[in-house]
Amino acid sequence: MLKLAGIGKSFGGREVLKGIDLTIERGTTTILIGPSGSGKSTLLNCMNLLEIPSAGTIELGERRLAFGPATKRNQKEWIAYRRQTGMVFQSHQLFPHRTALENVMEGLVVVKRMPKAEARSRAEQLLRQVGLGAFLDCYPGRLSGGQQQRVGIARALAMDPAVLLFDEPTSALDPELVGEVLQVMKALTRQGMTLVVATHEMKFAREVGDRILFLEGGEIAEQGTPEQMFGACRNERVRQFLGRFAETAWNERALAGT
Amino acid sequence: MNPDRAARLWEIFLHSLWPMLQGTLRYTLPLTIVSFALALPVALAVALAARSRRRTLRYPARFYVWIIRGTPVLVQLYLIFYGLPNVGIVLPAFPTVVLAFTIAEGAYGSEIVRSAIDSVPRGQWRAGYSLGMTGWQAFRRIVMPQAVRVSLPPLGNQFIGLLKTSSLAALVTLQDLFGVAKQIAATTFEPMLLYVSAGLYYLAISTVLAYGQRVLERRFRRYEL
Repeated sequence: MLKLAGIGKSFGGREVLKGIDLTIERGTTTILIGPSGSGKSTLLNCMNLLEIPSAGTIELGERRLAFGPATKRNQKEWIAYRRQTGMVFQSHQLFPHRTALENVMEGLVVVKRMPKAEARSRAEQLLRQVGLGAFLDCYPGRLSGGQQQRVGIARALAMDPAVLLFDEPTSALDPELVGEVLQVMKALTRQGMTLVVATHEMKFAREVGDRILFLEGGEIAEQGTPEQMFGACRNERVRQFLGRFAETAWNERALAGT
Repeated sequence: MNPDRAARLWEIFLHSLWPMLQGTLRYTLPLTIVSFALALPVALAVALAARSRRRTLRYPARFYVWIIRGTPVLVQLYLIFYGLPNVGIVLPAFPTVVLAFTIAEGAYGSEIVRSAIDSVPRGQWRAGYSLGMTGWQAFRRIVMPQAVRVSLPPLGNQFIGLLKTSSLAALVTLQDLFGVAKQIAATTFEPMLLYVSAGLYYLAISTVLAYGQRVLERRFRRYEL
């Protein structure tokens, strides 16, 4: 459904993505893992054109966009493409001057030109779906990190995107708030949403991922099913990377005294 | 001080109150309010031009701010009122002052607006874009409301500053608050009294404005904790 071919991205001569080829099937969950600076965020940002790739092509449904040194800014096409993808940010980026309900309504009213009443009932329904039915009229500043992130998910869902992208959605959260966000995401995978998730939550990755991609140095260094990746992976770098996580988890448990 | 002189001062004071109020209502306040109201859209337009990707917009905007900020308002005012007639352009005093103040405030205001827009995190634009908004929609719906909130205190400052700057109008023949004080001082030979009275007038008005600014700020702060 979503097909990336040879996607590259350079920032001022520094090559952050090197020719990423990736096909994402409808209704699947793709997990991006890898050390920080490996290009996970950039790849996600390229997938909804918040960053414009320096090279390659993106196909989504009927739409095909090509990028290269000669690519002209083509705002209309890009905006039309963005309307088919949703994004959940690491630092939620809710609109602070709008209530939870208004945050979710914003795209519906401004972009989809939906009548206010209709947008309101749709937004209410979505916020209830992520367990925030009691917080409709709260400003983001009054919500906990986990609640803010769930509003962010509802806001992205409202646009009915073909694919929902998550950029480390739980990395900025207190540990005790991570669970509620992951739960909402799990529910989405069960509803047949197409997700691409950059995360360091390995347990979650293993549980809900259909496919795990290991990024390093701007390339997909390894990929496979959770079993292939988390079992005895042939790739030593993957084993090292995952090993560090096992170690941290163990250290945390040791520190917590359990 | 002998009682005669005190009585005379008191009388001049009382008699000057009404003319100074007239000067305030006829010139000082209208000049301030009209110039500022016209300057705001100029400031916004120049701020947007200065942030533009296009050089043909950015450079003229920077040039304008550079020239206006780098020269005294009084010089600009004299240029328009006394200088332009040399090249055949004669403007009456009131429009001259409004024009000069609008140009000057537009330049200062544009820097305030520009920094207010820049103070909104880039992620807010991106969040708007990620919903499929156009640049204008993201600006209008997401960034501008937050920028307005940030720019209120410095804009309030500018407004109060302009109130006081408006006294320059007296130098191009307008009988504003300061102009009236100047005239009465000249005819009564009591400059001390008249300029203290004028100062108190300005102080009273700016106190009211500062209060208004606080009310406005509170209204825009409701979404914060």
